[in-house]
Amino acid sequence: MADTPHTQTAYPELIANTPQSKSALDSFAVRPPNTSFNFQLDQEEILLMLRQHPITQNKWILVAILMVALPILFLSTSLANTLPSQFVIIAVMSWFLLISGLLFEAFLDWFYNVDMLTSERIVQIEFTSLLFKNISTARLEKIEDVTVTSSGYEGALFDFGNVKVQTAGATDEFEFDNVPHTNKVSTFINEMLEEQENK
Amino acid sequence: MPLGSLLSPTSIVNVNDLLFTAFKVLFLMGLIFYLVFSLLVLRQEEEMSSTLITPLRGVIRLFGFLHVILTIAVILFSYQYLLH
Repeated sequence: MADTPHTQTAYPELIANTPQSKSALDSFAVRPPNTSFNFQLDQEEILLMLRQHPITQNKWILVAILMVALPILFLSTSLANTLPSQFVIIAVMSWFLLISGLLFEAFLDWFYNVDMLTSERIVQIEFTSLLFKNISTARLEKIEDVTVTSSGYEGALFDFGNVKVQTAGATDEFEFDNVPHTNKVSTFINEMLEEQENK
Repeated sequence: MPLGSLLSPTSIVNVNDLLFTAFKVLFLMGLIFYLVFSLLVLRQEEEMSSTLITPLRGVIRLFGFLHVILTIAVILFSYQYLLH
């Protein structure tokens, strides 16, 4: 008889039955492969990693599109012809450099601000500005309540919202903002809590 | 210097040149500030990728370095053509 993989049987039903995430860019990543954090415990495994729903980042994409369009508009005006061509080339190069920098910063902000449910605890990693980070954790047994709220018509359309986790620890409340599949997140956490109680 | 020579068409051209040079210097200073920003982003990326280790770590790191290198290249290019 073939052995059932450990990861398929060690977790509650929904977690075990949800396919493992394949892309590192997923905003709802189940057991993300080759992913860890620097304060992870020995036996700890990431079961769910959440980022903000990609649709909430649309303002950056719109700003970038507008910024890309500006030099095209500028070059079609008569003012561009009065400036030395070398200066125009340098100005356009600098402008595109600025766009790439702002987009890169926005991407880092989205990619590395994550909320996680592990086999031991919930973890929130927040980078608030260029050089400040805030890491909060709470063991599963400290969780008291999980509340799901929707994020308006966009949230209803694209299935994302906020998940509030009340704990008895030092950080008394965790808020996972604009995360996808909020009901699934809530079920995942509740399943882990039940598992914890049955131990 | 007689007042008439200050208002001659030649001196107006010189004032324009002076303003344009000042603008170019300010532009270059802006790029140097941007280099500081790109180095800060690189430092931030290093901190982020050492906290959360993902398969995209190498690609993101490469993009951070490319961003700094491109900024230096634009500064050198600007220095060569704007101030020389």
